[in-house]
Amino acid sequence: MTFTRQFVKVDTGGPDKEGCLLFDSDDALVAVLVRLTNQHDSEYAEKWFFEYGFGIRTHHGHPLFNGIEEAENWMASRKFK
Amino acid sequence: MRSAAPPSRSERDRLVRKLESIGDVSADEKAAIYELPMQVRILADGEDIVLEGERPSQCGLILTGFVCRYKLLPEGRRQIMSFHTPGDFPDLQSLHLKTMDHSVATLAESRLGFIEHTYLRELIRCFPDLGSLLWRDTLIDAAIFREWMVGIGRRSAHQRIAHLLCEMALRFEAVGLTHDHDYQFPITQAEMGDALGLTVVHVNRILRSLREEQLVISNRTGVQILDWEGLKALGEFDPTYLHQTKGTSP
Repeated sequence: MTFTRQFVKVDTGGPDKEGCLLFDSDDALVAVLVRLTNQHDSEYAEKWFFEYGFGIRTHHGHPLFNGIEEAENWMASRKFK
Repeated sequence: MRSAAPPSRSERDRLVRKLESIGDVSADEKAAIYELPMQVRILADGEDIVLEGERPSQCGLILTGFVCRYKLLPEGRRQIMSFHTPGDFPDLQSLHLKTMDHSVATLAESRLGFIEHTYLRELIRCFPDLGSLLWRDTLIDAAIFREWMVGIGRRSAHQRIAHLLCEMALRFEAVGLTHDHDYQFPITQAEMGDALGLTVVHVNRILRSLREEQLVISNRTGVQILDWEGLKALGEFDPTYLHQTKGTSP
């Protein structure tokens, strides 16, 4: 599965504002990723956080990714359809 | 878990204070509590006290430290369902419900006094009013669960955290463990998230935002409430559900 990316600003209520929306091959929004600032602990800082997902039927948690491609691979393995 | 010295009078006094915060305790009833036989054990941070599925023959009274009830889901997901302060019996229900339907664990190094069910039954037989008070305590437990359910289902993340910090202020105050608006609250942001249905990332953002708004400073060592009325208003906190008969404001 291929995804389209759209970089956006996100108001998370905190310092993390850099976001990326992922759209699937039907142009449907499937994930909101947010890049965490270094105001979080070092294990979180600079990582891409899976803020919210759509279309995933089972519990998915909120994993952290080193890059957007890693998030896309993870989404492709879990997306329901 | 290791055995330890018997409880001090001030440790037993936490239970008396807790019960006095929700009703009357006579001099005879207090004397019986001070005499109640218990085996004291020290548990490390993160140690299980009793596990889901077990059939305990004793109840654990928290003397010092901090405890939670929780359920573990597949893949290690955890829902914390309540927090417990010194003076609480987090597994008092095991006196009547034989099989644990959830687990109980420490969130800080804690001293617990384990009391055999037979001694508790004898205490309640001799002092029926004390039995009623313990019943009242479990009903208040249920009221707290209802309030948490409203929070997880219907309150925003900011409100959930504000509400929890207000609730714990009054519960610590009831057992004499607050100083002004401050109290020890030795939980991690991950544990707070597990209790409130939030991610650790979002808990971190919100605690930062509450600090910037000069409402409350909260970290692993403790909570300092800077603006009690503001925090209460944000969390829509109405303490009625705690049914405290004394000291309803820190």
